[in-house]
Amino acid sequence: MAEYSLADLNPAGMKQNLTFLALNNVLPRVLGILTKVAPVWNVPGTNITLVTGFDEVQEVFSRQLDFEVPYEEHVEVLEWDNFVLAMQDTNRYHHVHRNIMALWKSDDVQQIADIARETATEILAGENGTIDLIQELVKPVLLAIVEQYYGVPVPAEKRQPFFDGNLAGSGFVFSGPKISEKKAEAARAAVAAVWPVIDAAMNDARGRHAGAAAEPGARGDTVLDRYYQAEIEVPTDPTDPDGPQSRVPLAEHFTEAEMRSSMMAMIGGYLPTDTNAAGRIMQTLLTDSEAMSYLRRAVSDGDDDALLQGIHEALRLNYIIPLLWRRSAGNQRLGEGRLPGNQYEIGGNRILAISLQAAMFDRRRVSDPKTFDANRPSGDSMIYGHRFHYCVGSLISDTILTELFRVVLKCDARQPPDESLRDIRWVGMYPWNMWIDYQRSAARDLA
Amino acid sequence: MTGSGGVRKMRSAPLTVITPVPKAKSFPARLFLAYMRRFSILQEVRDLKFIHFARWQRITRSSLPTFKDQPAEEDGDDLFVFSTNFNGPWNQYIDTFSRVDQIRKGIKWLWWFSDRFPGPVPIRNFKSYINYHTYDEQLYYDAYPDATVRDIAAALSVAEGLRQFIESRPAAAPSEQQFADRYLAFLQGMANTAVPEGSDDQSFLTAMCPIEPAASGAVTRRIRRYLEGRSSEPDIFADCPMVHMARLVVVDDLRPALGNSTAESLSSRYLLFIVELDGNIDDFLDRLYDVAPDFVHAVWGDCVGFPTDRKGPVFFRRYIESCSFKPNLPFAAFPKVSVSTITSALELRDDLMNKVEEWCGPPSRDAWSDFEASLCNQYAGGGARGY
Ligand code: HEM
Repeated sequence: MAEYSLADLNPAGMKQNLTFLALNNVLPRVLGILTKVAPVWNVPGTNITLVTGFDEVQEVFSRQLDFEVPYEEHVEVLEWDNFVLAMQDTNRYHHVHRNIMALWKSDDVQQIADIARETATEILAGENGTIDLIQELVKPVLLAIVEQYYGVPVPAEKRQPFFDGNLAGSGFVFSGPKISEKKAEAARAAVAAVWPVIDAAMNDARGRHAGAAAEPGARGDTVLDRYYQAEIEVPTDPTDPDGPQSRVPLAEHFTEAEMRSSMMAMIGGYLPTDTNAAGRIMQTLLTDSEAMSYLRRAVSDGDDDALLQGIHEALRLNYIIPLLWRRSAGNQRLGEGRLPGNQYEIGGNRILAISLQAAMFDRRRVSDPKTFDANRPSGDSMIYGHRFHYCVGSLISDTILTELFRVVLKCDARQPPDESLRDIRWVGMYPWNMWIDYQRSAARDLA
Repeated sequence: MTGSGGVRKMRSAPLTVITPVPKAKSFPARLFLAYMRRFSILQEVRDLKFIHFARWQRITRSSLPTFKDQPAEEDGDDLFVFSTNFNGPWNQYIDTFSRVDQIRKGIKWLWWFSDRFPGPVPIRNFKSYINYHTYDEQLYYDAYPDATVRDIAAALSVAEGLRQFIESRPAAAPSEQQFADRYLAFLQGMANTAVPEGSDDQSFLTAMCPIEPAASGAVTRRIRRYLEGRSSEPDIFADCPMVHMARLVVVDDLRPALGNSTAESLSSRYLLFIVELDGNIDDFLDRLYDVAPDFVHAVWGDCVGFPTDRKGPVFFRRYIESCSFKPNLPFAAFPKVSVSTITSALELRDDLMNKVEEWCGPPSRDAWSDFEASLCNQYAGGGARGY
């Protein structure tokens, strides 16, 4: 059987060009108009409500009990129990969320930064001054983190299908709640390239697990090692939570099935978004000289805060996720806290298509939204979502993007002089091939 | 905090005066405020150099927010809100209003529209009028409570003088003597350095949120107790770096002018929220919610119209917006100068003055270079060049 390949399934051509045009040009324009005239719009004759206003989007994301996540069928198709983003506000959600935060912990940023920086410099030093940013730099850097930090080795021959499968799986979840058999089939094929790699890594780690604690921060201290080695304290008598505690392996408390799903969430939530984000940020830098010079200055001043602010702003301008989805649980009214007359009725069981992209361009909140301004108030940006279901990977993502762009800009990344290499090739919504020139000598100095 | 020379300054105090404006005079009052805003830059107030911020605001009864389950406001006098703050004794502050000629004229006109305003003279009547219509602040925050307007002006001049001194450093290293001459000239010239104009936008928030119908009082009592319990630790606003000043005032009713026995009471009790801040109001509200969601819910959560059981800054923003009024006549002693510029200028001035006292004469070039490096690191994120 041929290996799974997203590029083969979405060959360049009329269909791809039309899809790209629709998603990247037409949709944002339409949503932009709606933000102004109808920030909440019940699309006539359909079960869909488009939400595009800044305030209204925040309201939907703040009312998770009234606006549920509608991904039950997706997780069934993908055999993906316990996927945080698909879970409602229940004890089970909080149990999974808490354990994810404890396993992918914030103290790990240095380890992640080191892997990202070392891998990126090594690659740039080894190439000849022109590189495909996505396939030859971003992809290997992101996979290095999956291998060295998550503890999920991806055998050489499985790298492309594993990577592509993740991108397609994520595309499936974010494509909306309507699932045709064809779409489901394609999604199954995509994750069939991912689950076996995760399962093999878990089997391996379970086998290796000898009870010895890993040294914190050491390269051997992967998330999977940690999972199999950790112990936690639980009440000896479950009916008496305040009584004596005993230590049990974490795996007894946070089951392997939960860990397997969370591993998929943290890989599937990561590879596609960071690939897409890195490509789009670079696209912004190459087309907006203001943005490029701001980031270059931040890098040369060694100002990491400014660099990250610039990265966030570039991503806000060229956002990666066209729509997120919710479902109204019963009849709802949006606009709570406003005086009567400025509210919107939404019938029960309607699907809400929510555009963070349009919201972050809403002039009622964001001044001069189309201009690059890294110093705009951080509250104007919702790149990682808002409140419930807020991105658990934001810190990981910030760390990787900062390292990646620091290295790339230190090496003076720019558009290649060869005009034929300037066009970005897109596969669906993903920037797939994107050529840049850089100074190899600078990369060697860094290495 | 102590100012230069270690003298403890009088902490700033707020003043919130709400007077009734009869219907017939309400629109002229609004026109007058618009006129003042358009044609006067309140130069006299600025020249007094003791008012940081002030605001005059006419609020009609019909524009007070009316949510579901809230009795409509009956016809009656409108509200004229004056809020300011001052360092020093209250008496002296009010005296200035009626003693300084130009101010007296302005005051006369500003309050002329208020019911039974006695005028700025005789001063005794004026004082009792202001006193009677003054409302207690349940919570008051000032980002630089010990600094008077003059302190701030001086600190901004010093900071600017220092910046110019550092930037105009000669290309060739001066001798010790040349450096000493430059240093002395810098100290002498500092007092005359013009206060630089800032470039940061300021916003003025005035919101009146209905707490509950006037017939009830339980929520108002709870909020009042809660706020007064916190008044000694207004750290919450300190965590909002854009806030210059903030105050919360419970308005149980609009006090009628003395002698007016037919005045109509307000139908609801209100919480007046006044803030002077850098940047835009939404960012401030987001920040406040971010640092103190429990405070927000304890203060506004039970007010009429606040969405019950809703968590998230969006509800708070909207609610405050629904209860807000566009500023009629705001005044800032340092328009466009941000909180961080002011506070760091004050600290920088103290640091410099302490050093000047310690050196007791021109320092060596090396001593100055070390000091310049420490200042630049602390206040400008580096960039010192030294000698
Ligand atoms: C620039 C990169 C990224 C962007 C723009 C992004 C954006 C988002 C957004 C908007 C949401 C909220 C979705 C919703 O409310 O429907 C979200 C949730 C999530 N993200 Fe990210 N993300 C990024 C990177 C990552 C990374 C690196 C990971 C994992 C390491 C990750 C894992 C997740 C997960 C698991 C959730 C669901 C959280 C929950 O349900 O509580 N994301 N992300």
